[in-house]
Amino acid sequence: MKNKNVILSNIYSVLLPVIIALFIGGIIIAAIGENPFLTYQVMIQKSLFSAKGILKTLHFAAPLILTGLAIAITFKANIFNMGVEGAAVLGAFFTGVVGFSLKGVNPVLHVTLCLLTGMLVGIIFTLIPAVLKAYFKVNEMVVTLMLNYVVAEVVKFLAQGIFKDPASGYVSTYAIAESAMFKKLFNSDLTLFFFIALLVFGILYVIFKKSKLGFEITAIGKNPEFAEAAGMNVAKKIVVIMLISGAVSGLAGAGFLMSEKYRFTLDFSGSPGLGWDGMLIALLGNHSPIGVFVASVFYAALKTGSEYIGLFTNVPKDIVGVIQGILILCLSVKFVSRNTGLMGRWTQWLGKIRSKRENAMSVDGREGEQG
Amino acid sequence: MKRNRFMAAVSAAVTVIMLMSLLFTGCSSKPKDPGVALITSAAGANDKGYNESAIKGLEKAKQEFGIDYKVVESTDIPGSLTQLAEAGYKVIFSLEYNFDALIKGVGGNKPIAQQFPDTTFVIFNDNPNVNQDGTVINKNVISVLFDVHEASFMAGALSTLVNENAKTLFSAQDYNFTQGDAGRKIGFIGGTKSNGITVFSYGFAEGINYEAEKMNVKYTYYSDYNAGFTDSAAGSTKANTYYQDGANIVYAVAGSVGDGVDSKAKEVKKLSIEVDANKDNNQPGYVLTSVLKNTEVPVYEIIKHYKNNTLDGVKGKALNYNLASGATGITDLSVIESKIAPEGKAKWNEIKNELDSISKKIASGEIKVTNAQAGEAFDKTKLKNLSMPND
Repeated sequence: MKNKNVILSNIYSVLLPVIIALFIGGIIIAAIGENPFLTYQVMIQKSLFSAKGILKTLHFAAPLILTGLAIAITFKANIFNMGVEGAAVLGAFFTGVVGFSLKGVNPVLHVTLCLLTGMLVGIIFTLIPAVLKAYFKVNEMVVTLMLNYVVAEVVKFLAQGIFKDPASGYVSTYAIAESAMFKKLFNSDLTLFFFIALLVFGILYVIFKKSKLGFEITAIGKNPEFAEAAGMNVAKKIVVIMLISGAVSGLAGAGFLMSEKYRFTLDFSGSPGLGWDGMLIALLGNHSPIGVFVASVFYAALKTGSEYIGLFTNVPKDIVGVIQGILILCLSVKFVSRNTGLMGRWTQWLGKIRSKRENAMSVDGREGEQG
Repeated sequence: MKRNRFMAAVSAAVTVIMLMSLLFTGCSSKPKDPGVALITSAAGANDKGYNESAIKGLEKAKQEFGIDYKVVESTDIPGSLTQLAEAGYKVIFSLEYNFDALIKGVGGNKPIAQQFPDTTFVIFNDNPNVNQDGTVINKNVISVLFDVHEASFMAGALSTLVNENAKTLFSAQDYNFTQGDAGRKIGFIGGTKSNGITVFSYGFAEGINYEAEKMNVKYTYYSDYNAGFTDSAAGSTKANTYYQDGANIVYAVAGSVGDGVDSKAKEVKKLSIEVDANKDNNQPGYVLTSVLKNTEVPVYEIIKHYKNNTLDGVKGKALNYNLASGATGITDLSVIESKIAPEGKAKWNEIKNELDSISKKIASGEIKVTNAQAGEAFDKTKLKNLSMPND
């Protein structure tokens, strides 16, 4: 009975923000004189219920799955790595450099080299906050957050300087060589990169759920002092967790460049950016791998759907921005309720009015809420 | 049990919503000729310039020829191009820089232009549609280029002329110009260091130098290419450092950053120069002129070709809009003219005549302006009377 309640409350804590966001978005669409049902229908049908649409959604979900996982793995250990965006952008940039510098290489080798470059750059980048956090107790949130700005300026400098494509009218590096591009599959947008993301998802799922490291992540997340006392080398584990996160983020950037953008431009990561989207996804997915996967697909559907909204209705695509905003708001309410036990107190209060038996039920439910 | 019942209600509601949306499937019917479509650049449809003038061109064409149009804001340009072409739009304008998928094809796919040979794609500011040997890649792509370097040259010449004669032209209580050598400085604020921006800057610098050489005065040119395109407050701050240093005129090619420059110009009682659309009325009297890049003209003309079935004549070509076409140039200066003091009228007419003769000289090829957009190299050491310390 209790187990069932946990699952239910998990579904409920994810679905409810989504429903509220869509509902309020619908009211806004109606307020500008358009049909919300038609708008959502276009969005859902085009992004999920057509063969091409779903493949496109999965294509755009691939980097989000990776950034989502990269954030989830650190958040689960209560390490707030805000540098996923920076690692993804930096990884993508140098992937691009390897992509256009090497010519006439075997495609398999070239693609592998590019992906490894992305991961390596991600690891090196994340090494800085990881070491600072683990051995010098420097707040990782501040360091990673600030490093994002450093990355933005560095890649801007490089893209305007030595790696600039002089033939292009805007700031961009050269397009990567044909041999470094992921080929589009099934006459759609989908590429091999999605399956690589799936593979990484599988590996991380095993790490999260079955491995010793997964258990240690949870332990550090719950109480690092206790973990240390229990004989864990917490500092070393923090570095390992951060580096996994960095590698996955770098891979996300590399893959996005090789499967979608093909050259580095200053708006490469989009707005708000792969890393920040990943953060929302990790929150939406409750830091669990499966949750992150579902949330990524949902989020990518929202994004591809928004493009179709602009094409087939008169609703501005910014409506999706509104929906995302409300989603974030609802998710933060979830945090408030988790951190203050607001929901629990409320149910308790309700319970006091009702019979004793019902009271016992709601306490049960509250425990589920915290799970 | 209450909670479970609630959950059941919620899931039921979700299912109903999903089913409802499916119900609507298939009742949309599309008209046979959807008309033309336009994808805006990242600045969006209401940018008061580049995109908005293009949409004006669509509107004008709609009024005259009855051709419907669709404006799309998108971040996935290749995806939108494909979707629009699939939806049956025969002419698609794309104002964003993103050509790889359209022209060359990416990820092993055929170029979008080749996938939809009956659709005409129109791109702006660049001509990627040629091979290295100069042959056209796709017959159904039109590149639209503006000779903004020439227009910027005019603005540069005007700047020197106005700065040298400011005392006679304007009444002293309206403006607060820095006098003498300390005021022989002109600023440039660009959004980013790309050919699309430097093309304005270099033409402008050459224009300043042209008149400075004639009058035998030395000018200093400050440039900044890192302003971005959105932060007008930063534009205001940057412009202020130039104005405080003695510059009397600042030219901004950085989207809405220019708004901040204009308002700062008014505050310090000096002048700014705007770009893209005619924004002389942004801060009347403090915007010297605007360098026009009027997308309305090519958009309208291409739709006219489409209507008259003469598109084949321009397909595959790069259409160059020069000063004579009216799609680029500087404004008619009527707004700033209202601020000219009565005793300055004679001088003002002299300046306007000089501008006319410059425009003729550019057209005849007597004056050659560097076109950075076309990849021409710019040599600042050739500008004898202009020093560019930080370019």
